[in-house]
Amino acid sequence: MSTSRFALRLLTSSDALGVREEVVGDLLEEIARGRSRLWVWQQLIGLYGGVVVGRARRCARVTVPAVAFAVCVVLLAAVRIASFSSVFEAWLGIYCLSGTLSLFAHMAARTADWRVGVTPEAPGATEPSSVA
Amino acid sequence: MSREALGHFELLVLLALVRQGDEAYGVPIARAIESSTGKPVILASVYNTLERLEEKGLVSSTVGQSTPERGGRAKRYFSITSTGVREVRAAKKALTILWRGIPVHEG
Repeated sequence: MSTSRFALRLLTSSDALGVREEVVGDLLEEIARGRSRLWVWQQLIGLYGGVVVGRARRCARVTVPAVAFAVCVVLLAAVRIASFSSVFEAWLGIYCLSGTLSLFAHMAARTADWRVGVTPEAPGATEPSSVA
Repeated sequence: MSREALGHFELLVLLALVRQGDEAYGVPIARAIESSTGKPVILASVYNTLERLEEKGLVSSTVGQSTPERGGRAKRYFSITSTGVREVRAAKKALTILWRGIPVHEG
């Protein structure tokens, strides 16, 4: 299965984002060897995800205020279109949903850590007797 | 051993690097990890790890030749340093000691 032109364009244009040339070169080499579309898209998502996370980490002081500013702009624009109460209800719903999802994700991460015995609060998890 | 302990993926990358010898670059290292773990590996994360290991002085790299199939982009070959070999040995020793006395997982 051939790789789409869009994927190739994304890959070749990633140089401009500061992606190392050896990574792009390796991916182009693998595509020439006939890697599947799924593999290519996995690699592209990983590549661009890394770029986004790296930039966000480097610009943490800018990213948080920028996100807060964007949220404020969206809320103000929504208030101009719909009534204040409906916007407030929608915002509250999104806030509660994202908070709940974040809580579950945090709990899942902690459970996973506890299972492999990473958390210091779970001393039994690393003991041989508990493994048996 | 250095102050910073090796991460799981770092150790996998170092071991794959040792297995590949002098011709080690991103693709064969990723393939070796994929074949040993059975999970897909993101090439960019292999390079990020190699870069981190290079900063720690466990790996060194040289730039190779560029080829048309790579879109004129050069390869980067990696090799493990003597410090890296020491770290791998220390990690193996620590893991072996920890595995001892766990009857269910032996063998």
